[in-house]
Amino acid sequence: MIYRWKSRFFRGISRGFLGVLIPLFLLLLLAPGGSLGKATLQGEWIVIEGPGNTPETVARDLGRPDLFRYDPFLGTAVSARNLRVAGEFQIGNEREWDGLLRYSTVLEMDVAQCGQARIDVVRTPEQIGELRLERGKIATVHDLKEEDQCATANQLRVAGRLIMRNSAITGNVDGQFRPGAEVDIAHSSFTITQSTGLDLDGVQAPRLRVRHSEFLDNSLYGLSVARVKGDLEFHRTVFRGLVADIFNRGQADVALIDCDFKTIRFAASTGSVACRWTVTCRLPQPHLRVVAESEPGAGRPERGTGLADGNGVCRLILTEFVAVPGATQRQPGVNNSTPHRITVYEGDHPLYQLANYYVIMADQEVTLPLAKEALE
Amino acid sequence: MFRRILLYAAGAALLIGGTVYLNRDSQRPVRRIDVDPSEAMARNLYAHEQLGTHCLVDPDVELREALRNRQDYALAHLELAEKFYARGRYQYALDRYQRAVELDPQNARAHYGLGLVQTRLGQYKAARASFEKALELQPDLVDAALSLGLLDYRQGRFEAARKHWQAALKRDPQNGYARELLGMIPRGEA
Repeated sequence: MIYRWKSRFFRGISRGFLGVLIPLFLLLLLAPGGSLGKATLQGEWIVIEGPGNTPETVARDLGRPDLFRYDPFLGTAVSARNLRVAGEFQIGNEREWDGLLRYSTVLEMDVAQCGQARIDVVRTPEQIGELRLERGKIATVHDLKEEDQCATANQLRVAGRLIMRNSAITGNVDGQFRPGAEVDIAHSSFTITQSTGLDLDGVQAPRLRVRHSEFLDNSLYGLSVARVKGDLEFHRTVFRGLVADIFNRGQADVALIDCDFKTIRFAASTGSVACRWTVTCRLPQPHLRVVAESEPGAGRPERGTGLADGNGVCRLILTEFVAVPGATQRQPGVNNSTPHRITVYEGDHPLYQLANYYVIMADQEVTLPLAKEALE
Repeated sequence: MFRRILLYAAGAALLIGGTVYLNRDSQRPVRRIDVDPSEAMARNLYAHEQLGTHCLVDPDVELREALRNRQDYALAHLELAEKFYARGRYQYALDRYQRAVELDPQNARAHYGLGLVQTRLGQYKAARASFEKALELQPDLVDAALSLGLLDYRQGRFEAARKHWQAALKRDPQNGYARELLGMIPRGEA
């Protein structure tokens, strides 16, 4: 009986103790600035590990304002050392964005101190680095009057995860993505590089999503791809490079959907770049089937099918042409898929047809059947 | 001594007389720069930039500096806008085109450029107004007619597109692009 009383007593004590300890632990975790991550200086690198790191926590962990400092009033961090992201590192926060300045947090690499700035987002069997920018910007500190310029060639090398929303990377930072990289970029920009804005080599296409973004002012290429597994897709993205906007180094099939580019260059005998556009078909009835087929004589015939929704709207993604080595622009009978013949079916019965329809730009709309005044 | 004085006096007379003679027409001084000084300054600085400096990109930095000195110079804004447009910097181009149009509302090229960048940004209604204004100011601006036709084509108004392209071809019978576009009119069958 005493034994039972003692064991009950100690059980009660331990439960009570845990009952206090766990909430306290959670409070520490969720408190402002609470983080299980850490940042340490290892040689010439600031290594960021664990979850929940931000420029503020990195500055606090290091305690070396000469190497990494953060100004909460300006929302600006300055790093005098290269960064290795082996954990989670978030720059900027959509919830904290006040809507006045364009970015909530800016990380500047002080190239005068760190030389050629490097940010490595690593992937090892033990850990996957994740760099997240939300209303954030990575730039470089320099003394030239134009804020985006920088004379040193800097690099962002991603083998882990990169997530960008309404953010920017500038100041001559090449984005290099390697096998294993997971990329999710939306409404963001990479601008002003001495080399290539987006360099993809050996990446897996399903791990890559880029949309509504821009890769501008690159001395060489806006986009460079090589050895990509799967079909890469980009949506509504602008590419500009002085030598060429798109550079396919081989073994890569890329689809540019509603994208903005002019020149394509190949450096191998393999690979392709498909130029595709979204066409909106407006139909008088819902749930009709729409079939778009290339007209006879197309160099790369295709067939696309869609179903109208409850409002009678059907969106199809159709190909204008497929650039290949030796044919980098639309060449009728060689690499074109358009013009298309669009047929509207009710069940298996064709209702209307539109022939010789060219798909050549973004946001094309067509109402079927055509009104009399729209026809010849 | 006397000869030296004579020599100096003759030299002075030659110098002054020559200057007076060369500038005798007050309407056309010999060394007057017959361009707008601001344009000269802007072009000079831009050319200097183009010759190659160690600046990475943005050869328009000096041009923008020039603009700071002469904010009301429409042509500089227009040229800057065109460069931004070519580089895909559409928002910057939009701002400059709008400024150029404000400063020089009769400039058809500015309205046309504004229409182009509005098209790129998906502002189709505004683009239509800009192209129409450009055509109103300069009816022989064939590119504006072609662009209007493309806007109509984009929105499925094929007959309107045909009319614009035919008008462009009438203005410029050698325009191969207009011919190519006219071949793109679809055929509807019920």
